[in-house]
Amino acid sequence: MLFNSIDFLIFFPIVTAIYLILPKKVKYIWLLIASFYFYMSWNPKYIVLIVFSIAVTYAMGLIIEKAKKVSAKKWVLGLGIAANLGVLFLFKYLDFFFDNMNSLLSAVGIHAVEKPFDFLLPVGISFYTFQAIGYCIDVYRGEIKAERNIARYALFVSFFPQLVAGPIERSKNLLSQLKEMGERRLWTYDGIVSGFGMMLWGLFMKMMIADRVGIFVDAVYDNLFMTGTVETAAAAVGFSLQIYADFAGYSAIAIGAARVIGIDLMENFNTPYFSTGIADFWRRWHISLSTWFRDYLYIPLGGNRKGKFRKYLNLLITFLVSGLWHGASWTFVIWGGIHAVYQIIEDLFKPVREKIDKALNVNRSAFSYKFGQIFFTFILTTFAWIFFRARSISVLGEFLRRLFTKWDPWVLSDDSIYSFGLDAREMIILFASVFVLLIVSFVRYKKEADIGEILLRQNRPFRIIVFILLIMTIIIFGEYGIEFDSNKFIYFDF
Amino acid sequence: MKKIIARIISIVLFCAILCGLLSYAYSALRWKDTTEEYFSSFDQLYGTDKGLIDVVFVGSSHCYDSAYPAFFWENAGISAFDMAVSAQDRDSSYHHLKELLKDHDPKVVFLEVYGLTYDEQLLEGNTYRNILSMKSSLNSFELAKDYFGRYGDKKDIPDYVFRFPILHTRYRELQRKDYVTYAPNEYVRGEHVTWDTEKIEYYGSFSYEYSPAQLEDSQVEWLDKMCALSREEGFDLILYAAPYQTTIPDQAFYDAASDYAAEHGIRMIDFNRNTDISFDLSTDFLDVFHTNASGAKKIADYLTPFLKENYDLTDHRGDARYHQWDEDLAYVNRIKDIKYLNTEEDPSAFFERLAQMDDVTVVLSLEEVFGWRYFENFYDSFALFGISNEDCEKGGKWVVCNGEGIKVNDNDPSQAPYFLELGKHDTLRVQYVDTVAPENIMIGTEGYSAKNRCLLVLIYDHTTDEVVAERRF
Repeated sequence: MLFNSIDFLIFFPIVTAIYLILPKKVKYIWLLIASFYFYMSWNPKYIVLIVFSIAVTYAMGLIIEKAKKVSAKKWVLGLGIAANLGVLFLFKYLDFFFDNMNSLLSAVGIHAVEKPFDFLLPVGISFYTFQAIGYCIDVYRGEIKAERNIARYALFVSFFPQLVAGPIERSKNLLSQLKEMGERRLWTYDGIVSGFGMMLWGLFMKMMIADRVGIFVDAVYDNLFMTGTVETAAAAVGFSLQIYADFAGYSAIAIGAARVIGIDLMENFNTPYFSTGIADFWRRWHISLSTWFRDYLYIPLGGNRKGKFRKYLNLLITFLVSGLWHGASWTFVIWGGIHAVYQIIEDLFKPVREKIDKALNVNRSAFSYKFGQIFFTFILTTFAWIFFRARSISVLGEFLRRLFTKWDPWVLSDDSIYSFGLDAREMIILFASVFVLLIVSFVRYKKEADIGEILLRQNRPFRIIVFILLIMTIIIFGEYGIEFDSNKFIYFDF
Repeated sequence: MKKIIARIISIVLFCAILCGLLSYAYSALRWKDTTEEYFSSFDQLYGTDKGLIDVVFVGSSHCYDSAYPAFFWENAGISAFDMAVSAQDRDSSYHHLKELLKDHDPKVVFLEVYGLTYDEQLLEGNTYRNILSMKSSLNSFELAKDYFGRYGDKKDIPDYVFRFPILHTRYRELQRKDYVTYAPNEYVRGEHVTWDTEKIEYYGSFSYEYSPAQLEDSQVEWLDKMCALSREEGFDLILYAAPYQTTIPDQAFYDAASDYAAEHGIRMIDFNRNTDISFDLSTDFLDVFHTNASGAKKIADYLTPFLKENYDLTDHRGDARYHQWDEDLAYVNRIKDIKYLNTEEDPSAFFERLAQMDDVTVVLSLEEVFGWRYFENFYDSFALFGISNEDCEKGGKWVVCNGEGIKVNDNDPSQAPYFLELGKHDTLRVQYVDTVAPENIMIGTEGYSAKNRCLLVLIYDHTTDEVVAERRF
């Protein structure tokens, strides 16, 4: 059940209406039923996996808390992590593992090994396993108490707004809110208005920008033989926009839906394309995952406490694993590696840059300087996205070859740029939507509040106008419906 | 309390504005016959007052091209209606008829059986047309359910119920007719009015052996449902096949329908085997699949006595409630006139017919072209509009309203442009910038030029608000 589907349009109001009238003490049971139904709407069989993950980590949490010895706690934690990662490996990385193993074996003349299973990737598995692992580590560290109510814990892992693509919630934030459900007022006018605004804005990003520019990007990647520098560069920038509008749009809907219900989910995107450097970018992009890796991998590896070399090594390991988390392909691993290298270079050259700036008497607070930083960071992240979007090394090679060797500026004036799925009218709609995104992002950047909160601060007539404009624009110009089928959120694949 | 009231008001206001805008957007985006290539008579049905229709023809393009209610009206004042949609499939025909029966109580229904020759729609557009041109109701939901339960993907049903998922992409093709009611839709009685002609090689199945096909369960089920509906609603059901350049497989289905009709005690009229009417291959067909108005006239002339003999049908002519049938007939004749004006090569005959047309604005432009100046050829024709020979000899541009020609430009670039509002949406501008310049005569954004002839005649029809003829002599 996609957020931008008629099914969700029916599901969400019904769930919310019933949630509203139920007594506070049983609200979480209703949300659990709704969450399981939501997950089963993709494939009922995969409920077994999430139930397994819930059962294992629930039990591990209790055992870790009860264990007296640290070594015993460690063993149990290790088992819990291994069980979850095992399931993840089986469903997500087994094919990748066999493909690579067979490549190695064939290189030394040994026959290929047949794959024992052929699974489809269950939606959301990378997200809820990481959320469950995070819970076990928090219990191990004593940061939270193990949850005794299994239904409440199950809801923590399976809460439908963030189940399939995050934000990857922390037990300290989400579980504690679920515990307080029986005590605090969940249903507020402000929460509904702000959450509704977030949901509409998420749908706008997804249906007006991500899915529209996605048509162009897909057409370029699928027809590389037709392309040159301009088309590939446009597709690279287009993909930067697509993945941001898609994933940030999804996150906005998730956060908005949860807010309507009275639950605050953590922020997942904070105007990442206004970042002034790569490290800054990762403080703003997919925040729930980057902070997860920071807290549960980078810092346990030693973080930046053990010297420069170890810091860079830890950074490299963290980003390579992060790349692999995104998908079972070397292109993702390379993408993670590029970001690690970017950050290492950024850190290494920081003193040099500062010296140059000082020598040249550069005003670092000037708008032009900041704009230059933002622009340069955008170029770097866009270049890295090329690796992320290419489904294979061969496609990646062909894309880069065409990007750097086939200069064809005339496609902008002879209209052949419109041969890639978006005609002039659709391009205008896309640019207008991106312009709106730019304005909203700028306001968000300046006000340091999400769109829901910003709207809440405005007068009621303005809010009504914005809501109506968003709804009408999405309904009329959004990419959806029978003729449109590529509307799955990109991060569902990870 | 004040806060709560303010919130309630804002929510109500929000919902009201949203509903209003969605309703307006839907009215623009909803499926309409804007291409003039495919048809649905639903708008015409919904524009008809309750309880007026006595005879119904249900079917596909074969139906709306063969049964012209205008001619039944002309012959005997019979209030007939074509409940017809292009490529109407069997599920659609049943539910379309049910839709008509909500407000009307016909005495006889002719079911055109071309639907026996195909199952699933091959063109998605035809699925849209058949399901989406009907208003949203339980009936339209049941049609979507029946059709997709049988052929398509059941997951598509919600899209057909909510409609916007399909219709919203029409923002790419919106045109004037999506915002402004196309006047003929208010009175045409379902037929596709055309006098266009194509000579075909043969029609009918006179040389084919009588060889009925074995009907499949779904085909028999359709005929059974139609029979059941006729019993429930109390109308007489008659099956019929329209004449065209048929094929052996198609005829086998019609023969099977004839057998079915005989078994069930209902009538079947197969115009492909009927020797009582003789269709002219040169004048009575629109193309190899369809008759035109001339062929439909023969069918109406054949069926009218049959209807009068077998049914108690009142002659409604003169009854003001049936004005749409009068207007329909006038429109059919008008289209005939327009067809004539677009094809007649003799200027004298052309102008004589033009002088008889009501509700048109005509622009006449006489210019010397490449040294040719045979203005005297048009003295008599221009005189029909009160334009003197002397005036005609000078050349220039005239606007003819209500049969009276007024000179608005002497082919003089120094003269100020002449403007005239044509209907609600078009403005005519007449001026002279240069010989045969398109900017000389403009209606809206369209420019018209005499090109390589001296005389340009432009006919703007006020019943359809469009230029219906552009002739050069």
